[in-house]
Amino acid sequence: MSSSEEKAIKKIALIGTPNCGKTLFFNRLTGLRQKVANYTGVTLDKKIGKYKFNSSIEIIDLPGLYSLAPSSLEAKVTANFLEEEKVDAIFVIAESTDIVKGIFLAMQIQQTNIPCQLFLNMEDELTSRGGKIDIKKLSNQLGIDVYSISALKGWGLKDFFVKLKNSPQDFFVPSKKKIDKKLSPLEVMQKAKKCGEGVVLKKVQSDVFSEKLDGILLHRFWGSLFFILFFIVIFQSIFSWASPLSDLVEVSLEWLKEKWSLLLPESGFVTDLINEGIFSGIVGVAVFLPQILILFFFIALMEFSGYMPRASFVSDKTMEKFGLQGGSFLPLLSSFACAIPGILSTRTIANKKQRLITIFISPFMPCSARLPVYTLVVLAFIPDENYILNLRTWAMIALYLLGALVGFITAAVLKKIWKVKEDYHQDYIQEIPPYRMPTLKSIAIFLWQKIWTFISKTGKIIVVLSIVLWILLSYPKKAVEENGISKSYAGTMGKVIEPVIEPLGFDWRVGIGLVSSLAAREVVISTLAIIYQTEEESDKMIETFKKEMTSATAVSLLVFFMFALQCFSTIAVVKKETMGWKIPIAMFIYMSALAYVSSLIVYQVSRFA
Amino acid sequence: MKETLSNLSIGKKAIIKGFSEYLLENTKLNLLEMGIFEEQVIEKIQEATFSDPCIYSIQGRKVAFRNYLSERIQIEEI
Repeated sequence: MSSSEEKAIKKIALIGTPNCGKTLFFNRLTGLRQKVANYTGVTLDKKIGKYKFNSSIEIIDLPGLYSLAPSSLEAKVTANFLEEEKVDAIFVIAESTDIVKGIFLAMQIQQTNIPCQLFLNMEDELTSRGGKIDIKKLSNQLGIDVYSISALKGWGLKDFFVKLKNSPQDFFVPSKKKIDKKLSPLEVMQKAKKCGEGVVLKKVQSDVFSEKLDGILLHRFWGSLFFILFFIVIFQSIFSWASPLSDLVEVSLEWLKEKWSLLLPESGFVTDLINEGIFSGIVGVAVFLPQILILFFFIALMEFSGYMPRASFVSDKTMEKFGLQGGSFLPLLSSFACAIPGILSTRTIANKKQRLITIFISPFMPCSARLPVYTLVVLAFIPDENYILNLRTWAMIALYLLGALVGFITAAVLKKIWKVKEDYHQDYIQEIPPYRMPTLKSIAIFLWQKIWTFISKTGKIIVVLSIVLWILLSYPKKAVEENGISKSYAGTMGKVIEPVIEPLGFDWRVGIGLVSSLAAREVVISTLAIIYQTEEESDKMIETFKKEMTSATAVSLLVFFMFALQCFSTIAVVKKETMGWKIPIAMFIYMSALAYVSSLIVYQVSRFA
Repeated sequence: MKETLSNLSIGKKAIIKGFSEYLLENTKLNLLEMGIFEEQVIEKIQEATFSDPCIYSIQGRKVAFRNYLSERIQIEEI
């Protein structure tokens, strides 16, 4: 873009408190002409779009915040952004049913002298609850334009859109009234409250529906019960709905592979690279997508309906025992499906140390990638007998609970080591918004943005690592063709580490499996199938396992998989979210050591049992 | 000894009279953003299981925070 074109672009920033409908307003302004980017140095997203009726106007959706005072990461990022980016105008979005918050923000913007307008959103809700505001009086008192709109219903937007399209310069005029920069936040809040109370013509009635629903969902007993049941539904959905969808994705990609193979030479480096290396990587990314989609669907549902802060409220005390907070529950539950989206969803945790602890223990939650290994070993070595439940079911429950328990114990220890001070209690100040019906469009846009972020950021790493693994398992080519996988680079690595893993009951073949599973845990099954020259179908693998392994080795393998951080993708995401290698390296070392020592003890004891 | 918000029962209202010196400045700012500052009327409306955290109503808004914080907010019950 030339400098003259850049100058012609006018920038408008959207600011608003959480739950004010800012995202919906942003979507109305930009349509689908938006993209997600990151602020430098922080894990906050910013959305940028072009105004759909005038592409010379750029709309920037800033993080939701309550004030410009630097009391939160969002406020600091916003203040820096406003200083560096030189926006031409700011639209402040507020809830019509709680205008003081919006007036407070608008007054703080006026202290910066950036031109601004105030949009009182949710006019439909205000009307349904019997409220009325004197918009003209408010506009006169503030000295800025005030609009009453409903981004959901489209009320009040038509004329505004036309004005923004045809006379955008009207929006870039500074306020007629100035607010003294020297006023403290408290003084501004007192002014905002007085102003807000003075323009209410009819007071809004209490939200009867929200109050009745909260009577159940926040009840000391029923609220906790609903919480547990709701999350069981999420948990079960991720496992039962995602699995057939992942299979469908895999089958579809296999079909696609067959078709494009026709365009490639029959064999050769390029063909093998594309089919074995890149394709495996793409499948490795694609099979995660159904789980991520389902998980983020529920996250969107909870965020947009208003249940998310209530879930944090209900679970907070339990989480606090382990140095965590209510906001940690969802990331940890998500990690039962896959640690990657679980770690990504820790961004909602305000306290830095609590967020790091949640990230650190997420891989301890037994993810779905461990399931094939658990299932195979349990079926091969645990007898099919009933003790109220089947012994195999008890074994699976024990594996899940033990992994999670060690994770929580780790959290409690980290709380002491990282000196999570008593002050962290002060970080939990949570507004409980009214319940609102989420729109399908908002959920769809939210899902698309999350999926795209996952594919573009994490997906690249997974594909690269799959290519590296393919090279390790397939080369030196001639040696592998003549003598099998034991002569590959991975085979050599397996033999090199054999003395180290022998005390755990593992030989070089399992060693290759452990090396390959660093890319993705479930890969160990297909790798072992190649090594033992059997087929991946479970009956044949079960028979092979029984033949090639002792029960002591099998139990040792289970324990190793329970604790080891065998997922480069997770390491990559942790590195990105913690902005450095310190935490992922510490996680890898700690979990590897724990896996090693636990396996060692279990194997040595099992041998003689 | 001044009465603190942690002593307030569900359904009761009080006027906020001050904050403990042990509260961080950041915390006071966060509370201010929620409409919680001196001379405001606050009502306790809900307690979680184990009575912590609690939900309060201020200016028609619901806000949740832990008892650690409510023990450091001074009130005068109405």
